Amino acid sequence: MNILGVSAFYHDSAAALITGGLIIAAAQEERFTRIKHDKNFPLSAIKYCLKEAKLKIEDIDAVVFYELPELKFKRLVKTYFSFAPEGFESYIKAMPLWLVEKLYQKQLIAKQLATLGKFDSSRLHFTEHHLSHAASAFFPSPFQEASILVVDGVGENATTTIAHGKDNQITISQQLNFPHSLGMLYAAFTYYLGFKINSGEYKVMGLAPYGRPLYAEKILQEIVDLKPDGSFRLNQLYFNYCTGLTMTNAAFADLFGEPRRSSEADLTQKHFDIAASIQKVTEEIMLTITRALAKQDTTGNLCLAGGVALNCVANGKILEDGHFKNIWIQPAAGDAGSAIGTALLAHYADNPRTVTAKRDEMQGSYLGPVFAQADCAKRLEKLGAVFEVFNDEELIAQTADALANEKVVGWFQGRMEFGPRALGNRSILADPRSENMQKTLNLKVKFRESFRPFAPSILAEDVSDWFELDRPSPYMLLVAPIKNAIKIKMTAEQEALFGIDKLNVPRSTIPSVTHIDYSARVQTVHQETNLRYHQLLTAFKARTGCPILVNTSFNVRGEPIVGTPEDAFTCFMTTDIDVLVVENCLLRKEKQVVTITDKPIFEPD
Amino acid sequence: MKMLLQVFLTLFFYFIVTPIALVLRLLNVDVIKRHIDHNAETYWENYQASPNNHLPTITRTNSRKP
Repeated sequence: MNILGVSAFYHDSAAALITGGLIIAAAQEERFTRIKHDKNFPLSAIKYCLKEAKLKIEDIDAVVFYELPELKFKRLVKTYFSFAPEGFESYIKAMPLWLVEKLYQKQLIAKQLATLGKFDSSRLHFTEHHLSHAASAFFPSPFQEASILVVDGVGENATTTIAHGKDNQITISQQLNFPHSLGMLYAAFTYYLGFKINSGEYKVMGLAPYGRPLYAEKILQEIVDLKPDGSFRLNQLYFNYCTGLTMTNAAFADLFGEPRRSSEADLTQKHFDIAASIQKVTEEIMLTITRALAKQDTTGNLCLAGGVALNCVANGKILEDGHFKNIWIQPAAGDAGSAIGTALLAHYADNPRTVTAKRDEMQGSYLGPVFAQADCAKRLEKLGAVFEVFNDEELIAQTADALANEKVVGWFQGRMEFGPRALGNRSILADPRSENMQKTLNLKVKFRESFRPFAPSILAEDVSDWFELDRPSPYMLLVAPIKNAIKIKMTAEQEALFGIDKLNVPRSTIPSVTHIDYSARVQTVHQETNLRYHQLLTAFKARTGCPILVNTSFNVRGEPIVGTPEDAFTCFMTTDIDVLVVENCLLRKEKQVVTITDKPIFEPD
Repeated sequence: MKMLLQVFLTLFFYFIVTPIALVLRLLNVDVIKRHIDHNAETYWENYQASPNNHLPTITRTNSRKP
């Protein structure tokens, strides 16, 4: 049975194709259209999935959409009835859209699918947003039975969901509903700190370690009423997302004593402290929920999904807390991953599920398009690229040499990753031992703010030697402290430094992946899921003794991660990347002769 | 057409939605449970599956292995 899962129309549209319960392909629309977080119907991603499976739309038994549009509409209407006469601004913007278009999503989706071939709407199905998330967290997990926690902004009504997964069944027990939402709370602070919601959350998380959680108490007293069982409500006096077009209001700004930061304004210590505070509160809420959940749990296993599950710092805290023995987080924890969840729900509606291998079903999340070596060479030639082709062994050696010489390497290999992280197939790699690498990568390669940390990829076998982590973290969703042995003690003078200045002091033997609080967002690399990347790390270790590379997504600020060799070449040529490796083709910057004239411009994130 | 819809929606908001909302507020009905209740022991709500969830047994007439 062939099932296509689709998530769309809000943020990060995606498609996934499941055959006989196996994930054949999954991709986000943004990678094809080059529009970051593209929310349009994912026609390109669907076309890709069909192509990958060598199927036509006529061969698809069911298409499943990840949420229930009419229930979302009902929530909107109820919200207006709750707040009127407040809320007109939001009402008059949203209602026409719903009445003219969004309420007819079923027809719209069927029509879009019909452009690919014969498709009638009897094959189109729908599942609840949080059920789709829960399914994306449980069904691909390595657990036969587990507790499931979904935390995000909002789907239809639910914002937080507790469920239990066993075999092929998911049973939701309890929920928190809109407007009380941890995702919304974090987004509100993201907005207040001058970043874009739905993407700037990473920046808040990255800023947090520079600050002190001075306002955490205040947030928990004034804004959040958190019960001992982890349930909570948000004091709506401080928010504007129910009725207006912004996240927070004047009362919110008054509470923190200054207006919202404009996106161009400098970041001050106070901003760092506020970021630290909301991060602390988020961790406290997540820990309170998971501790309460653990009391009912008999499995020791926890599955996480929803946008908040991308908060890898909080995830690390849950793991460290020890109330659950095993944690599995859907790598595409945001809405994109729901495309997989909703399709698996359809599959397991009448199929048994047995976890045999200890591995999860995400295949390293390498579920996207692949380009064969010959194809890559042809495409690069067409672009006028100057490159050498090496055999596998020589390619690894040449690349490892370049990395050991502190070259920045664009690494384009195999199938594209599904989800927000680049996991070594569409990555920019560098030497983590280099003192200046963090700065170079941020300012000259990615063109982004200098405070943002970078993540390490490490040979799975070596993870416990370098980090306080005793398990795989293949999807870069766990933050762990670095080992004491590799820390470098700071002088009193250095200790007194603050913010970015302190970040620039090498605090470990791998400074470019050591955050200000000595933590790192670890990706373990496994032979079984990414042999070539594993080989590269092994070769780098042989040269340097260090089994770690800096791994950051292959894109510039505001750009979706590169999808094709062409995207990779453009990014290479318009940044300070020194070496580009596309399958077995190796390009050196100094040898290139073409200049990119139509450099794509991306809106800063 | 768009203009007409806007006018209709505006009238609807102030003459239908608002009065109903005000009455509900007078009757102390919290439509979306928006208020904080310091005395409540929990805010968790029991889940009820939406009848709109639509996952019938899928007919396999079209099935073909890739």
